[in-house]
Amino acid sequence: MKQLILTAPGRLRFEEVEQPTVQGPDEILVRVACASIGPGDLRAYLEGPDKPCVPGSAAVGVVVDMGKNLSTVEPGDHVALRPPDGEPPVGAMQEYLLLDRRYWHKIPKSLPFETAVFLQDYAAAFEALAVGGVENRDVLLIQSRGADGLAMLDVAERCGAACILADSSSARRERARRLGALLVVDPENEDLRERVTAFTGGEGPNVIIDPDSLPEALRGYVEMVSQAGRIVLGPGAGTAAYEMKTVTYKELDIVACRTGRRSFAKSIGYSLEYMDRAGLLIDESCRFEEAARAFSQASRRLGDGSGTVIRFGEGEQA
Amino acid sequence: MKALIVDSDYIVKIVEREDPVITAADQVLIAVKYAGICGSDLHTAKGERPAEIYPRVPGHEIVGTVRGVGGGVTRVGVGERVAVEPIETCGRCYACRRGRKNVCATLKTRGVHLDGGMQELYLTTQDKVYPLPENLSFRQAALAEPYTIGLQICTRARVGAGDRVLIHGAGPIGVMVMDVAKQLGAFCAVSEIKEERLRLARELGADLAVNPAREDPYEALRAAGGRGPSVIVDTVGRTGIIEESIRNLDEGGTLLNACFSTEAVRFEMEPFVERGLTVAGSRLQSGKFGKVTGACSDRLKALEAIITHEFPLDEGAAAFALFLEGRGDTGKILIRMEEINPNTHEKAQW
Repeated sequence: MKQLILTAPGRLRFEEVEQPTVQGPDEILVRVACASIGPGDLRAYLEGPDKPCVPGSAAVGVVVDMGKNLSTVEPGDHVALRPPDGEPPVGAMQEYLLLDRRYWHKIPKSLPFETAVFLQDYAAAFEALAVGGVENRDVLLIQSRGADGLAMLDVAERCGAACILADSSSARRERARRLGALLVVDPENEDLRERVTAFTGGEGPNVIIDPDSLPEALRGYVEMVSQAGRIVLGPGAGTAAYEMKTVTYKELDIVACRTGRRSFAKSIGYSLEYMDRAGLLIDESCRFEEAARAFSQASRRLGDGSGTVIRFGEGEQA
Repeated sequence: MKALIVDSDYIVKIVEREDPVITAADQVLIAVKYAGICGSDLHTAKGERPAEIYPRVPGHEIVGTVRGVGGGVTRVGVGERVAVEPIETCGRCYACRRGRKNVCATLKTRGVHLDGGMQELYLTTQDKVYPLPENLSFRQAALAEPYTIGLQICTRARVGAGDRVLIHGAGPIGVMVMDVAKQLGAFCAVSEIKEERLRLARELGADLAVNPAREDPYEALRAAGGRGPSVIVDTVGRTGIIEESIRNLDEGGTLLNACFSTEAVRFEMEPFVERGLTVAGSRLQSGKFGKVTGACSDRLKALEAIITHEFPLDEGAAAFALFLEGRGDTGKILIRMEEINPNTHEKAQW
C-alpha cells in the first residue's frame, strides 16, 4: 500500500509499504477513505518534522478486517479515527490503518466521507460550546483559523447564538456568512474590537472562543468580553496575560478546552442532523495522489490548514 | 439624623442630615443597627473612587429594624429585624438576565455609587430586605453580607465535597470562604502571614493554616493528602501569589480572583490548557442573602469571633483609622448606631 511521508520542511514523498494485517484480538484494519490536514501537520510541514513521519490526524474509512474479540463491528462498517487522549497522533495519510479498537468509532453509513472527516472538529465545537456555556441568544465571537472555527459557528448558530466570526481568510469568511454568521471580521485588516463592540451595542460578546489560542490575544479578549462573559481557550503555546481587576470586576471565566474527546460520541450521534452543512468547512479537497500539492497550497492559504481534505479510492467512490 | 460621610477632601466625619422619607409604595425605611467596615469602604475613605461620588456615606454590610414601610410592602413589617442587600441593578442587561445581577452593566453599590449604611436611617426597597431569624443577634447578622461573599466565591469556584481548597489571606473574607467551603465538604487550607489571623482561622475550623513566610503552602497541602489544590481562592491581590497559584493548581482546577489589582497576571498557555484549568472572577454576590439569613444563619453565630471591634457612629473616624492600620489582630470592625427616638419621624407619611 501507499503512504505519504513528510521528511523535511516542505518535503513529502510517497512510499510503498506492506499492507498491515490484523494480528491482535482488538485490532481493526481500515481502508482509509478520507483524511484531513491538521494544524500540527501544517506546522510540521512548514517547520520540518522531528523525524520522518506520516501526516494526517483525522481519518474516516471502511472496516476491512478485525480481531476476534470484536463483535460490534463487521467488514463494511464505516468508522472515524479519534486517538485516545494522551496518545500520540496517528499518521492517517496511508491507504490502510491498523489500530486498536479504542482509536475507532463507528459512524452512520449515510454520512459522506468527505464531511465525516470533520467529526473531530464538530466534537471540538460541542466541547467548546459546552465549556463556554453558550446559550440561545448569547453573542458568540469565534476566532477562526480553520475547520474547527467554522464547525463551532455551525453548531452555535443552530443553538440560537448570535455568531461573529473573525478569520483572516476571505474564503472562510464568505462560507461563514452562509453558515449564518451575523458579522464576519477580517482581523488582519479591520479593528476587531471596534467592530465587535459596535455590533453588540457596546456590551461586548458574551462568549469568546479561540480554538488555537494565541496567548497575546487574551488580554484583548478580557477587555472585549461582556460582563459575566466566558473566554474559552483551546490548545496554544506561549505566555498569556490578563488584568486581574477586569476578571474580578466583570466576573469572567477563562476556561481551558483541551480536546473534543468526550464530545466525540455526541458529534457522531448528531452528525446526520448537524453535518448537512459540513461541506462548507472544506477549504480544498483533492485526491491522495495530489497530497503534496494540497500541503503546498494549504501552507500558502491563511489559517491552520484544517480545511484540506485528502480523498482516497474509497472516498472517490462515495 | 446622623450620618458618617467621607467628604470631598476624603475626610471621615459625622454630619447631620435630613431624615429620609418614604416616597414610593415599595420602599422600606430602616433604623440601622450595625454597618460593618469592609476593604472596599477603605478604598472610598482613601479617596480612590472617582471624585464625583464624594461626599459619600460608606457601608454595605447593613442590619437594622424596619421603621416604616410604603403602602405596597408585603415582605416585612414595622419592627422586623432585617439584613439589607446593598446593590441596585437594572434587571434588563445580559448579566441580570443570566441571574448574575452582581455584575449588572449599570450596577450601583450602596456605599460606593449610592449612600450606604453608616447612617441612622436608611431607605431601600422591599426586594432588598431579608428578615432575620429570632435567635440571631444583630451583631452576628452583621456578618450576613460578608458571608454572602464567601458563598458567591465558592459558588463561582464550584467548590464541592472532596475539593482541596487553598485560600490566600485569612481576613474576614478569607475566613468566610473557608467556612462555606468547609460546609460544602471541602478540605480547607489557609495561607496568611499575620499570625493572629492564622490562629483565628485555625480556631474557626481551617484544616491547615500555613504562614507562607515560613512554609510553602502547596507543599504543606500535598504533604497533608498527596494532591495539590483543586481550588485556589485569592483574597490578597498580589500577582506573584496568583501566578504561583496557577502553576500549582491540580489538574482541572480553578483559580478564583476576588481582588481588584490593575496588574497583569501571566501564565503559560500550554500547561493551562493541557491541564484543563479555569481562571474565574468573583465580585459581590447574586441571590445569596436568602440562603445566608436562612439556612446559613447558624454559621454567622459560629463566626462571631471574627468581629474584633465595635465603635459607636460618633467614633466612626477612629474605626476607619484602626482599619487603615491593617493590624493582624483587627478582624471585622462594626459601626454601631444608637437607638433613636421613633417620634422624631412623625413627619414621614406612610
